[in-house]
Amino acid sequence: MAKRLPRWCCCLLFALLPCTGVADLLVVVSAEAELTRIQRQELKDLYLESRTLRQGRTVVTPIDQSERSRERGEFYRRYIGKTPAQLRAHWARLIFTGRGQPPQTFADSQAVVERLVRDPNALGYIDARFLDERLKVVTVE
Amino acid sequence: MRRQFVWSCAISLAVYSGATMADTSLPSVTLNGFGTLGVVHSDVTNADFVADPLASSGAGYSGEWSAEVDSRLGLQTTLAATSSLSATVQVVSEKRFDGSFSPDIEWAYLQYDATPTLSLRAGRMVQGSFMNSEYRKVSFATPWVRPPAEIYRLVPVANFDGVDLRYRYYLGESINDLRLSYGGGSLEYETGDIESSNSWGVSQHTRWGDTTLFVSYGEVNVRAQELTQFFDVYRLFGPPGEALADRYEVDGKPVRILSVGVNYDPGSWFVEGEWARLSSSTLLGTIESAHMTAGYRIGQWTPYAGVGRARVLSNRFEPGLPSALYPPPLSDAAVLLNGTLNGLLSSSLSQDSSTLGLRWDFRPGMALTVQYDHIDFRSGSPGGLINQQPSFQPGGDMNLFSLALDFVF
Repeated sequence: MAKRLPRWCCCLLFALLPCTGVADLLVVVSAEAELTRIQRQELKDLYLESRTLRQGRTVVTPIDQSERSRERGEFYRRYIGKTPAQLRAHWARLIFTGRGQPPQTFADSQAVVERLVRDPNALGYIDARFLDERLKVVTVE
Repeated sequence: MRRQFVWSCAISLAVYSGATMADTSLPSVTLNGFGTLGVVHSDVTNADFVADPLASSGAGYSGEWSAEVDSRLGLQTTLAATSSLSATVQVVSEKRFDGSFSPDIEWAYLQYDATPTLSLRAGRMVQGSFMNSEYRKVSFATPWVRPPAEIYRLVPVANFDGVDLRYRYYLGESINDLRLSYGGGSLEYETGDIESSNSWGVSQHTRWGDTTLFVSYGEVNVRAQELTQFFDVYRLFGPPGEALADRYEVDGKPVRILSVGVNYDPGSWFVEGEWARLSSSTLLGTIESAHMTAGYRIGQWTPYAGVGRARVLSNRFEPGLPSALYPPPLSDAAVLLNGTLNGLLSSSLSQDSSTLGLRWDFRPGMALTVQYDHIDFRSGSPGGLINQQPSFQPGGDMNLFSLALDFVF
């Protein structure tokens, strides 16, 4: 694990990088997966629409983190453009009309890593500190 | 008895799902719920404002404030037997025509996913007549305390028992959902019931970036026991009576509903508009409605404002039977019938409304909304108010103040 920085140092970093809540957020898949890049709109569709089939390619299963994780807030803010409240309303519309359930949720980045390495069709996002050789970073275009 | 059965099913599935929720293997059971605790105040004290036109009482005459207009609880459970076969039941408890809150089945269907983009369902479902129809009772999922009456009150029977087909397709960067449905349904109220049969609908939902487009067309054949009896009496008055019954009879004639909606939501703000037209060569006539709502999101707060309008395009007055042509007891009856017919014709939705609201998403899955509505009833329309007292004059205006706590889980 990374060594803890003094609190003032964190404050300074936070002030210098106002756009990042989580220092490095990565979209990742298993090292065995074929996927190497994904368009921002495709990523949005994957996380906002259940049962999304990527045209002409394999079906990708999105993996989410719990509402308590910092990575989740950052991911939806940066890539999907939705606040937690908007997401809840979005899923309420789909759930209560039988159009699907939200992606499967795991507690934190570590749990997402364990899930991804078991399934080459799954895609998730993690804090960069949890990246290891069993995973591959997906470029978001 | 049936309702007790519904609840015990829901509860036993809920208990069962508690044990299996963490497991992702099939078969799996998921439980979700939604609800609203709401109070509404109406300043019209000689009639009741209701959200559901078939409820037995509301706000205004029965009480200055009512907690029964918007409050409800819904529970939904889905059993996924295999990756392509599932069953879903949703029960909703809300104020009903008999004054009780006994739960009713909103959705109950079997779903088969033939391919990842094509699914077939059979059972009880909700017509997708308008943009927010299918989740109109999930107040948390919409910006308002209740969906705009001008549009969402047009169709009395929203549920149907039948089949539907949904097909998802991709065109360029857009995601499209096409839905075809067919079936019939029935609805009980205090003094009779309404049946719909051979109803079909087609709707197209397109999402392209931040824009959503919705188009829907459907036909419903409505039969209301009371109206059929009413026109049977008209038919006793010879050819003039028969002509009037043929002209206004609802039974056996299609009611057509066309709707177009747009939503644009780039994140920090949103705007949604919808236009609908109900047309029929019956007593229900032809009505055109539209509404538009815009909102701005500031952190947990969403202030919003909207306007709505409904207009009756068909005739709202009918001279009726020439009562002078009939001998005394019959002429009185003719006057009475004509009065009732004109009362029904003028009760069609014709109003302008403006809405101001503020929603506070104070914690995940919970929101508190305050809303103010000003409604102008046009040309003698009673605006769907019920329990009208002798002092009530149609065609006035009404102010509503609502407070609602919405939740989903």
